[in-house]
Amino acid sequence: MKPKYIIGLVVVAGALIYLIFGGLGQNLVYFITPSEYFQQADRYQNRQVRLGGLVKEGSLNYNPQTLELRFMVTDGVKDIPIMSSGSTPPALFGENRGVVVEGKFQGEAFVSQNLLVKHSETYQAPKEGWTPDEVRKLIEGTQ
Amino acid sequence: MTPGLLGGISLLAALIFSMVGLVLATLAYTLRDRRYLEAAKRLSALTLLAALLSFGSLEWAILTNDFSVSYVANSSSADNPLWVKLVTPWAALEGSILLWAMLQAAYTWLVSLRVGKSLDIWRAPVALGTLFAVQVFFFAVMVFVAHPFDAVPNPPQDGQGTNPLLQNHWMMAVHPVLMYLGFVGLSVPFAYAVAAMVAKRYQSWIFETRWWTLVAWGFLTAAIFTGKWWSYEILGWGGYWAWDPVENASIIPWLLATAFLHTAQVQERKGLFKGWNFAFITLAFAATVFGTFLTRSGVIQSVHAFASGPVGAWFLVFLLGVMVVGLGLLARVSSEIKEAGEVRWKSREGALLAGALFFGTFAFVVVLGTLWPLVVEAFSGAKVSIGAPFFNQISIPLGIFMLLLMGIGPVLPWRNTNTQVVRNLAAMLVALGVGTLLGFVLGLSLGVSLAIGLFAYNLMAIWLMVGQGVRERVRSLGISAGQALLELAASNKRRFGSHIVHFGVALAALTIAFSQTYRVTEQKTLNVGETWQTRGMEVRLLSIGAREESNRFAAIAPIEVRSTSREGWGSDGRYQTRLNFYPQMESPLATPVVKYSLYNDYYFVLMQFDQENGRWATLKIIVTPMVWWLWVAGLIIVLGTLYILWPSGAKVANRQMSPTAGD
Repeated sequence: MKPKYIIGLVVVAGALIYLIFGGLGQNLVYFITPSEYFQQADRYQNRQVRLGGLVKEGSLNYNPQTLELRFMVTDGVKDIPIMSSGSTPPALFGENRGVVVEGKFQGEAFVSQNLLVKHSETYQAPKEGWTPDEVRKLIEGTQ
Repeated sequence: MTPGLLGGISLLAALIFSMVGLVLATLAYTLRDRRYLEAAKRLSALTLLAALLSFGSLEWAILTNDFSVSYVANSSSADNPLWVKLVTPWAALEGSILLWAMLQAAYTWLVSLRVGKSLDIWRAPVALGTLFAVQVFFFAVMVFVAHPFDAVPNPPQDGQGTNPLLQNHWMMAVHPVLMYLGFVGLSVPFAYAVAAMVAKRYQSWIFETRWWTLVAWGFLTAAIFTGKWWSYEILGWGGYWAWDPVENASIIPWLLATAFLHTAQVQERKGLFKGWNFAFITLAFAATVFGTFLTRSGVIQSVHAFASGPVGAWFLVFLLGVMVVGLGLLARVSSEIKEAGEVRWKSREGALLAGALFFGTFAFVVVLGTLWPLVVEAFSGAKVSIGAPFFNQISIPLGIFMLLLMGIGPVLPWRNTNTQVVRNLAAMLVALGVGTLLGFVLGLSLGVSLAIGLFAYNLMAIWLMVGQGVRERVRSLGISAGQALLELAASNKRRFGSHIVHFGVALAALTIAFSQTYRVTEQKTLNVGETWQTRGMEVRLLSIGAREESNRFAAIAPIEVRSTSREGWGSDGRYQTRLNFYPQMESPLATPVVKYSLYNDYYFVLMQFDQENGRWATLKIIVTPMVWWLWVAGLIIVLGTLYILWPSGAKVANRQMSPTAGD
């Protein structure tokens, strides 16, 4: 192979590596629970994250006229208020059920762009007295 | 005899037949005895019969509501309508593997018919043996870990029902079968490649393998487009592709098979790229297994509701086996298949190799993006996911390069360039510039303008190539341009078919650019009788009603839409937006109504409604340009593939035309 082809290949490969790894770094979306957020709150400010937990009992508030959906996500230890506007609660969404909210922290509240709920009919509600770890295990199935 | 018993026995028989077939093929290879080969051929037919019987038993059990069969008890219900029952075999894991194995047996049988024709005594035993080995795997998985016919001791009154997402649309009857036909079809090229490497006949395998690969590729393409259509028509989010692991699993083998189809042509004509071809075809088949492993093992979570089970580990072992056999053989023969000549980049073979490398890179990037969350978790313990932005960011530049190459490649002659070609390329670049400029003048975004330019560029390439052929014929034979075009199309079906496919791809790229850039979503809660002015439409909620159906209950909110400006052109009509409630699910499933027009698609979804008094309903409207054309593009690609594969017609036409052409 001639040197100029090798140079060409190196340029192409370099561009690809830059695209892949630059792209991967920027587009990694961390999956955290409320407790993990409070351990490193600064790290997750203004950055796309997926927050997983349960919809806290009695916190669900949906206004069909303004399409504003507010609820608390909890892992049994910490709670985070979620604000989601312009959407309707998806299928299988409800209190005491697992949910993954994709969006950004803005101050203390979490503004969600996307609610993910597992599309499965084999869902099991968590039992009383679960630890955050157990909740997390349950939710990871939802991611 | 009960269907469960018959199904179980025939499944076991299929496994034993496949094992015997494998042994006979091995004997035929080691002893070089044609009699063993003939026996192996017969066993492939027997396996197919046993597999058909087993599959038929499953259908029988489902249709007769035999809930003593585990698969029926877990995945069917007596209330399902007939068409849902007919497609239930592939609605869950065990049945899908049975379908897969049955199709595998069918392909093996088809290959056995080629023994003595294109498959000689040296290659035939290896090719058949490879396919028997693949079959042994699938039947063994069913017999040992995912048995569909387990007896249920106390049969329930009714089954647990079929996954509602799967029975919400008739596409369930089409898309999975096409996908399996494509996936399983790639096992044949792999078997041919293994046979070529074992028998050390590196050239002769390529001709027929290209044909087999094109068959599988056609099915895969059809499956991917029908999958997009299904996702668009039923999932209610208004998109057709989300870079979900399951979708990636279907695109990876497609990309690798596409790479192979391009480099295979160079080997056919010039004997080059033998190593690349062996590698691409091995990886394409391995990718089908990899995809199944990904989606069935639960390693990567996906929104697709596939049951994960113990089969994951089996598929991983099988994947490793395929890679070791394919790449191991390639390593062994690599010194014997050194390239004879050097490749000039400025020639068709150069462009074909560059295109194939892009497809290969694209496949690698998709694998990387799909697996990256596992890598991050292994090293840092953090749970991460990679969203669609990553894949979009990578696929846009790669897609632009591919579209550029797709135009250049066929225009370039073999070996080297000449002046005619330079003129053609100049014309194509002008088309690219004019198209892009047109987009800017119309006020479209950079990406969409570029997509228009690339579409014009590819159109120009096809026009120049077809135009030149037609002109030459008209000049030398003195026939009309129309007849010359028909003769040209009939005499070189491969080249003409590839023009059709390339046109479809260019159109698909254009529609993807438009639909991904200019999609808008509006959402509002309306009272019954209220009108809503949005996006050039006047939407009126007429009423809210309910309907009882055999397998579900539906809430229906009819709406009336009138277009009020150019933006909403083509949206007029009355639509029944609905939410379907299935007994197996606590929450309803939205079923969008899609109204296609020549430019915009209007997508209406009933999101929620007042369950107490029926006074209000929340509607979502998604307006996306040109999605209809994406389906047209898919159809064009599949028709182009069919045109290349169509066996007899063209030869007959050719013979009939040649006397008149000669006069």
